[in-house]
Amino acid sequence: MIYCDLCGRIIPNFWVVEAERLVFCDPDCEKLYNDYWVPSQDREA
Amino acid sequence: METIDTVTLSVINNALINICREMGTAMMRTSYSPIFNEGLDFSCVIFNRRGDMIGQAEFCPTMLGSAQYAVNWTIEELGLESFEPGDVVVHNDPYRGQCHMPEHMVLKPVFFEGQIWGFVANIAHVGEIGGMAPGSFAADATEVYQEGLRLPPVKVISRGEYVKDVWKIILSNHRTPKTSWGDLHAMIGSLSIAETRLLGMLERYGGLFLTAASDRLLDYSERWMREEIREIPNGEYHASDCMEDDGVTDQPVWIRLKLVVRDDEVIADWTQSDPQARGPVNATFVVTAAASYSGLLHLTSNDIPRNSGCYRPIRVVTKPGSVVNVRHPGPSVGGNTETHPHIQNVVVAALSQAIPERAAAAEGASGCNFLFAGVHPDTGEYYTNYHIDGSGWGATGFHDGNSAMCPENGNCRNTPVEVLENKFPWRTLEYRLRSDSGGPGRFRGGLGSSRILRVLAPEITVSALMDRTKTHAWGLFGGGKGGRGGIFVKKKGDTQFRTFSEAFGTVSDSKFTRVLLNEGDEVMIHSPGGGGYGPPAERSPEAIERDLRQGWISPDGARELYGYDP
Repeated sequence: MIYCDLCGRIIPNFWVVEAERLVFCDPDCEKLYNDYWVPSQDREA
Repeated sequence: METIDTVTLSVINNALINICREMGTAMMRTSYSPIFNEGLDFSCVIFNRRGDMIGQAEFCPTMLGSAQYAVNWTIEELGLESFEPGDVVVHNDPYRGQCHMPEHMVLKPVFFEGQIWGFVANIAHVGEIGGMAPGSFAADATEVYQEGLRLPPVKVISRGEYVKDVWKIILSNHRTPKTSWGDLHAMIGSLSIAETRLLGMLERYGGLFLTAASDRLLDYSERWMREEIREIPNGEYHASDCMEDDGVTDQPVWIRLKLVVRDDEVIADWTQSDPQARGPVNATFVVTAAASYSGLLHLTSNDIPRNSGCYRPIRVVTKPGSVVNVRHPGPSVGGNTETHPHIQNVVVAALSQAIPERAAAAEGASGCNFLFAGVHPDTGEYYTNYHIDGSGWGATGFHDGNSAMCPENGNCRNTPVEVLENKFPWRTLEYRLRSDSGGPGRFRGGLGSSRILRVLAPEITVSALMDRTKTHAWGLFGGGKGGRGGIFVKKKGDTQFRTFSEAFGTVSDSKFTRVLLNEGDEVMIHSPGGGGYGPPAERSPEAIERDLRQGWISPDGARELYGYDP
């Protein structure tokens, strides 16, 4: 089972972005990861 | 691209809806189980070849919101090239996009002019699929393998012919194979009706035109939802709720939401929720997604066409291994019936901070799942049944909550007393609304129900999975909380009802499996009430008097909850 690094869904083909390797459902999840998830984690840190 | 006028678009949208409704009617009239022919615990849908849902009707929101994941998974795992005319695929794997194990999807490709145009599907709660508890609702399961037979997408019909080996495996693992046979055929029959009707539309409009029209409907629905979201003030809204226990331990499990409204999209971030529970209150990712969609759909226009387009602006973020995204091999059967309405209530609670005039107080949020099995004394045949009771819904800023209705995730009906008694060895001694169980408020929460059943057979094995028996549905803006639910037992010869923990030593009062009852024993099911909206002091005297006349509040309740002297 491969999980999307943004939404957490199990991916049935996946979108990979590469020492860091991130896996997403599709480019939409990568986009939300970059413009929502990363900034929100930075703010909390 | 060919121009499609709005009238034609509307006609096509309504035709797709009506195909789904006709599927539902066929399913209701031909299925064997009361959960289908009375409860309507199923959903009929139409997809294009890309896996976008383009047609649905007034079925179960949890299935409708998750259907696209199950269908997409099936298409991706099997590949479009593997489908042939006359095929039917079945699939119930919660780790492949399904809600929980009992939910079985049957999927059929629709071929037009030699190629797949789309798919028709029926998702239904098959009442017995094996596993550790009769009725396949194991409230104390600790892994998915205890919850029944798990099916990846496999063909049960290939090119119009039974795949008998697969049927043998399925029916050998169900306790009531004859019933499963009938119910699965009712599901498959509904697909044939949908295929016939869809081919009629394709003959009339042509494949390219119907594809273009359904694409237009998807985009239209997305645009409309985005416009609705634009009317909600941008911001971060937080809310939380808990499952009171997980059936295996007696500790609460918390669901926490940060809901971000950002111009024309909503991000439902559930990543602060508790780690997944040992017991089966975990939601799969698709249940959490469906509950997030459903919460938004409750607070936006009823007229937005219900298809995959309206889900696009709603993004869901979860952490695998949490109560809102169970990781293999965790159990999840209660996540679909109990945790889903809690998740949806949390979405509404978060948005009540932004759009209070549209929000509702919390609902009872329990399907009051009650399972029983045994040998019928009249026929000598083994039976099982999955029974649900409605709870009170939350009040809104403009009306009282609905009473004793299936939680909003299910949209199912109750089973009439006459049907229950005709099919199974129970005597119904009481079935009524519970006075004072609706949360007080300017608008009152819906009432829960009380049902007392007496065992008429030498023995019956019972299981239950409920929630809100220790917690309450919350009120909004000064409204009071709803009454708690509960399930109790009175052994023959006893004078009082006790909890199952007191009588049988179960870990949880509300979640247990395989308790043996004997003739003359009685079970009492109290479903929880919904929360009130607005200060009780602002309720009109006319409404209080009506509630008193109907018995919906007691004279003591009027005095204590409303300060009203009858």
